[in-house]
Amino acid sequence: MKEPSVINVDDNKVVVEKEVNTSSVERLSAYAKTINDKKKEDK
Amino acid sequence: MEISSKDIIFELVNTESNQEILQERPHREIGDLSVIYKFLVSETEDGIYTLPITNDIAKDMNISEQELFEVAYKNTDERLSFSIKSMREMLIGMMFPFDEMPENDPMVEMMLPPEGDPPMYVMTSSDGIKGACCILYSDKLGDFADKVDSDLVILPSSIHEVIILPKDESMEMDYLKNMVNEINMGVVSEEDRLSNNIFVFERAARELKPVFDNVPSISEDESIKKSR
Repeated sequence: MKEPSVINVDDNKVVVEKEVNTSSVERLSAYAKTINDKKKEDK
Repeated sequence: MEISSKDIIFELVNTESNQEILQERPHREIGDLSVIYKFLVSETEDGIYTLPITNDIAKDMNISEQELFEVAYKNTDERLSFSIKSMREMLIGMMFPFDEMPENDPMVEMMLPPEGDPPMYVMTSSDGIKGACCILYSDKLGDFADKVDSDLVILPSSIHEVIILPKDESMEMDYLKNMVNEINMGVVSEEDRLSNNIFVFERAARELKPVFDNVPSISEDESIKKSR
């Protein structure tokens, strides 16, 4: 496996999944607000 | 279906909440997290398409979990292109993916944190999907720790990204752990949750460690260490 090689995967075992990231803004905003509020509170 | 070994990548998931999946997949446990493997089949504007590597597929490929890890370690960084951006820059990119951010808009400014105070960063892949595995790259964390001249506190915000805070002696670790817990429960969907624990990357030792003792340590793969 040191060099790139072509792999044959049995079609019966192929289950392709779609992956998305849907809620980043909400999640990151929650962190940003909480960390920011804590900083203000500590001042 | 023909796939190249160059398409083998990995992702990080929470071990406890993925027991069913882990039974069917080659994996390794690192702390309270597990590394699982997949082929990156295609990338589109609205997501990525992957083929999970199951025990059956790995057996057909005649590849061990250690070999999977080594191949995926090399490929994942190349294919997912990890980067670290400020929280503000990251949010602007997400809120205005196609347009410039409107200037002097109080509503927009209200939603964004100020730049640099307190310093907060987000590390993830170029498309922000399943990018939390970036924490397995201690060389990248080390370079960033050098840049900000500090140890780093890592908040596992989801399986897609982590938040990085330069460590400051005034930081209350209990508070940060509770914050991760509360945001996980309130905002993060169950399948996107990575961990309720927080971690510190020690700049001098180049090591990622859980902050609280009751969590297993995160040790770097020996073969990766030797290859440096």
